[in-house]
Amino acid sequence: MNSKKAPKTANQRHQRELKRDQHHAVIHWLVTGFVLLVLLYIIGYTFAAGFKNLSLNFFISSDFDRGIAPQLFNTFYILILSMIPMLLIGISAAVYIVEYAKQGTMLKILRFATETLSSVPSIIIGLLGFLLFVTNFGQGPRWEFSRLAGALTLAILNLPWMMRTAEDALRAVPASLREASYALGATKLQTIFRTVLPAAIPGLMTGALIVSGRVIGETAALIYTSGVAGSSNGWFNFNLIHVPGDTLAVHIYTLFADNPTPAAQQGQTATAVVLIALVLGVNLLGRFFERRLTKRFSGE
Amino acid sequence: MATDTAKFSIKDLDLWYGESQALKKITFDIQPNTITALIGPSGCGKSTFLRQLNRMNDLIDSVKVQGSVLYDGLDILNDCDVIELRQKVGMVFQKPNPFPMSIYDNVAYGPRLHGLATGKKRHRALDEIVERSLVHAALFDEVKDRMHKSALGLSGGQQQRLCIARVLAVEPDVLLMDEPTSALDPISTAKIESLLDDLKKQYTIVIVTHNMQQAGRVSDATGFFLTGEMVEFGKTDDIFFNPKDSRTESYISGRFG
Ligand SMILES: Nc1ncnc2c1ncn2[C@@H]1O[C@H](COP(=O)(O)OP(=O)(O)OP(=O)(O)O)[C@@H](O)[C@H]1O
Ligand SMILES: [Mg+2]
Repeated sequence: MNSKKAPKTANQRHQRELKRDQHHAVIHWLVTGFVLLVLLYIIGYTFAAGFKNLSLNFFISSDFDRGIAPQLFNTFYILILSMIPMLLIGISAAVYIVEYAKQGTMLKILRFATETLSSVPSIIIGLLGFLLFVTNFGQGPRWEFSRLAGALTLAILNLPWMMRTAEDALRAVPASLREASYALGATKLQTIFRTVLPAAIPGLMTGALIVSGRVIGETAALIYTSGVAGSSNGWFNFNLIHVPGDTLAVHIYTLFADNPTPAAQQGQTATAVVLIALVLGVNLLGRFFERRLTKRFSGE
Repeated sequence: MATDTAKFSIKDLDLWYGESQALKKITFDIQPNTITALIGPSGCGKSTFLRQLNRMNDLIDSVKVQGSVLYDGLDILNDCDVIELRQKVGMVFQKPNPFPMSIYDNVAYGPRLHGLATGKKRHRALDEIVERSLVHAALFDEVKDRMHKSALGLSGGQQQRLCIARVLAVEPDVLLMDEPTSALDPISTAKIESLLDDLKKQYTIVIVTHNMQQAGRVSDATGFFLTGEMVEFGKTDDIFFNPKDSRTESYISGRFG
């Protein structure tokens, strides 16, 4: 070790730290700027290409390349159908992991399984959904390409994400609140339902909305499950297992794959605008809820 | 000290966190309607001991316990319903920990758990329990106009009194307090100290404190802990001015400086 160097004074050390902080700030802004640029480019490009093709009629027509009424309906219908099981299973699993599971092999296996599941390509999950829900493995009574089949497939696809965000939300609840509840004579179940879950609501809400954005934008997993066809007559129905239904994202794919006419291209760019606006809106809503509820939970 | 009148009678209490022993053969009695102060250097086991009186240590997997703790003659280490015990033996923590709910819901939390407000007029009954508890904790006047606002908007001292009110609302018999004023300013501390004197008429209080003046001011009896052992226990005046053990003497004179 070289001990000749004079020991740094507090002031010198301070100066050096200041410089390092400045460097960090520059890198930080470069990265942020780059990501922002990409985001703005995507949004700007989509809107520039598609915004002029939007009209009121576009939202209420059910013609294949003139409107997206069925696709809007299907998107929200599938979103709701998939969020219900996902929230139930995802939050229950997170409660189990955070409140009950002991650190050990079981938990490691569960983590390995969810992490692997979350890295399986969505087209593969789509094929699984096809076998599982649409064909029922060729056994007994079967469904058709249907919105429930699509929704359940999306639930499988996004369950790891839902579990992860729910787990984070539960872990963010301070242990001191659980202690306060136990010390008042609450059971474990009472503590979970009356203290932990209510305190985790902002986090759970934000997580659910972020996952919703993924559900709205998913395409590959739906092609073999809820199908690429919009049933243009009588699309406004709630039939779960016998009627196919394409979502906005799938619609963009079909317009391009089947029918690259100029009209279809216009419809495609306009659909893209709607889809991007929806996904952005859902994410912004997530942030909004997070902020509003955090405010409520931390006093005005 | 006659064991049959004691609120708590602790005998040969040993406690381990895994392999390391945190309490060694603790033996003494806590009398009803008194304030007992527990003092001693950091890490000597005061909190651990306190948390054994309402079995909060059950929440820590590695804890093993031996010996006996009688509460009103009932062996609480073996045959006892923890839920009932914690309702009777309430606890106030070092850092105020109100729930992220309204002031009202914080105080109503315990009564709702235990169904204390019943019958046709249970809403009125619950209102009364909440108000009474807040009055008792000397907080009511400060919060009566904002009962349904978030408890997290209160000051630290108000939050701690809210936590006291929350415990009082389940109609306990004993209050365990682990350094309840260490996170508070002198004025809030003074408020809580004068509150303690008042609460003593109705409750048995055990308080852990690092503040010797506080122990001297509020307590009737004092126990001095050192590395998991109870070195000396007796009347506060005796412990402070006439300690029998030289270790007690040097700790107390050191702390008074
Ligand atoms: N959850 C735990 N797991 C393992 N060891 C613990 C745990 N909690 C406390 N201990 C150990 O037990 C001993 C007693 O701790 P305790 O918290 O009871 O001390 P204390 O007297 O309350 O200290 P302080 O005045 O700092 O609050 C310490 O050595 C501590 O490290
Ligand atoms: Mg302590």
